[in-house]
Amino acid sequence: MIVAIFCLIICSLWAGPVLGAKKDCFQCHSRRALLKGNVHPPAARGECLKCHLPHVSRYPKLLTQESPELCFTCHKKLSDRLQKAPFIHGPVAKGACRRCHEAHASSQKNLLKKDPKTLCFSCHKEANIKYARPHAPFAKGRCLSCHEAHYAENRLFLKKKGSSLCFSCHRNTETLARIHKVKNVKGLDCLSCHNPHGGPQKGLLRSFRHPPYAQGKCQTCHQNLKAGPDMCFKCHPKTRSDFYHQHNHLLGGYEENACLICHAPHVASNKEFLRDKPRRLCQRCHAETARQRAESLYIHPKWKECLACHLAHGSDSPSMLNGDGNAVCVRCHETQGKFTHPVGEKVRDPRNGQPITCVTCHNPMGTNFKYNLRLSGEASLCLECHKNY
Amino acid sequence: MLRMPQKLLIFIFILSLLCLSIHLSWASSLKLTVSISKGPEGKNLYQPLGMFFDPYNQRFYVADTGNNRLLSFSLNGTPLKSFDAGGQLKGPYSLVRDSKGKIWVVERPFNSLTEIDLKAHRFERHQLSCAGHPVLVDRIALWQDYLLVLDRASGMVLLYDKDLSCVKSLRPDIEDFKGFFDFKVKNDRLWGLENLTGRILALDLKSGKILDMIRPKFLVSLPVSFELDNRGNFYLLDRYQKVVLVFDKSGRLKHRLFKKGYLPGELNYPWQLLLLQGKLLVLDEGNGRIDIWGH
Repeated sequence: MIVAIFCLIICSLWAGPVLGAKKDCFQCHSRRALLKGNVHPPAARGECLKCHLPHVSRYPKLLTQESPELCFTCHKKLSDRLQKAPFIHGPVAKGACRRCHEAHASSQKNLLKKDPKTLCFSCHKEANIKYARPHAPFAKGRCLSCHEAHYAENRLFLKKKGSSLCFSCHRNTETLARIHKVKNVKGLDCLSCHNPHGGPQKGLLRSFRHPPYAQGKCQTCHQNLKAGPDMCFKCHPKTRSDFYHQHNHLLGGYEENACLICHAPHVASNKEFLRDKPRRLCQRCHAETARQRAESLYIHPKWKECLACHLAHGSDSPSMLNGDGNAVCVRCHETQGKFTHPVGEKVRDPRNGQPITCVTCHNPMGTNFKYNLRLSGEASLCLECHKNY
Repeated sequence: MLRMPQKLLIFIFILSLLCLSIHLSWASSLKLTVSISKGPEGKNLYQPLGMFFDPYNQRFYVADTGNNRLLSFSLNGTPLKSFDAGGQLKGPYSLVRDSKGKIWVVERPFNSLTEIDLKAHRFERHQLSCAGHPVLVDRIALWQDYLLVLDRASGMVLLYDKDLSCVKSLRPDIEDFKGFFDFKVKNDRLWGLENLTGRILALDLKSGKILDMIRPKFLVSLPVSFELDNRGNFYLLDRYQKVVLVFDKSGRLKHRLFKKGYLPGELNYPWQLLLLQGKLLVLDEGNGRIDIWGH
């Protein structure tokens, strides 16, 4: 008898708040409107108070905590993995879980706000291209077949490293080996030649073909593979002298042929045969620039177009700028080239005796001050040199 | 009253504590002793890129690249001489002075190793090759009677004899070698800084065998030069972060030295480190300056 009474008390204590929350919340908030389709488990169980406070809260929607802390109270595994992940998707890094997910219910899997294709393209607009021959998962909008949504080991957020991702669907490796004239397909870098989203021709090959490859003259290059960059300079002799500058990009030994760090030897999506768009390609080595961008309030509008200001092969200026710290800017900022704070050879920075240039005061890679100034333009920047004012 | 052995023990204990504190704090207690920004005639340095210390005359030499000249300084930073080979020298990048007083300079615009013999009034540009391949001449150093040349095209260090014949190429025998960006010669060992990774390898100059490998246990952005002291510490110059990172033989970070800026002692676009006679020399291209740090 005593045990039964005790059980009843416990049950009523446990069920009280939950049933109460269910009843109280849904008296005003329509259950049908809120819990339609795939429902977030706490919402399905009516555990509104897991996320919301009933009376007052310092956070919007009467939440008990802000996102992502609130989400991570249950999704602990994700939180732990994010701590160790080398690459985190932008919205995840900002804790903006609700940019992609609904809180209560959704018609989509994983409580996504929209179907993956629409959702991804709402930010990644440049990827929304209609191809004559699209890759099947891309055509079906299955972005998550290949990409991770939260974190990854690689910059492209691919689910698996290198070609192993491709081979998870394209399993006929014997045929692939025969087509590519190799013994083992594992060493192939599929993305070097194939556009994983789509292309104009069969096999999703990238559009621009290196002439020896297009003409089937494989031995033009393959008989000289050990020659390194010399192999390339044989046909591109003018490029050799591009590296005769104080700073150059020739990182001999980084790969057997250093040119292939940036350039694709067979086909590419651009006429320079770059392996990727400069903003992504450059960041493979210059990751610090992306960090600076993320931490800066003001960024040069052409930040993503690295080659608008930097030379890719060699330059006599620091940062491999395409000209000195004035010439590189004046190319676009013509007015400032004529009317500005005195700059040039005869105007010296009192701190180091060097000629004052645009980049003495501006840092286009990103700062926290208007006009990409290195310090506040209100006073502190000027006072660096004009001490008596 | 303490007995004699006890006193000795206490003395040894204090002495070892003292030694330990000196050992640990040498790098962190560095002070800026001299900041060199001008040559002997008072002209500012402009984008200097090369430094060399000559133990025979106790002078250090600077390739003042942007001004197309070479400068010499005493170890206390006093400017001594300026030399531009009668206006012939263009974009000197790296230099050494051999035991016979010949100056070897890398002139990047010509991709040449230029021989300057002041006594014989000789100025000759040499185009180097090794095993049939043209060499993109980068930093140079001396070892015994050999001239060591870093080839940026292959990432290897090449040994040239007096006649500029390539006698040997040094490449660590490891699969994941990424090429050298900077190198130093110390006690018959070649120490090389690997491209981008920050890994430092030591090779026996005679056999080419790997003797040591140090991998920093922290993130480096753009390592461009390094030094090592006789306490087993490594100094890694990160051009992007504008700092010198000091780490021990196990790769553990011990100190972060200096900060970015324009004033003496601060770094803008640092390019090269040189450690000599207890002094750390930092060549800063962006600030057109050599900062000498010591105690």
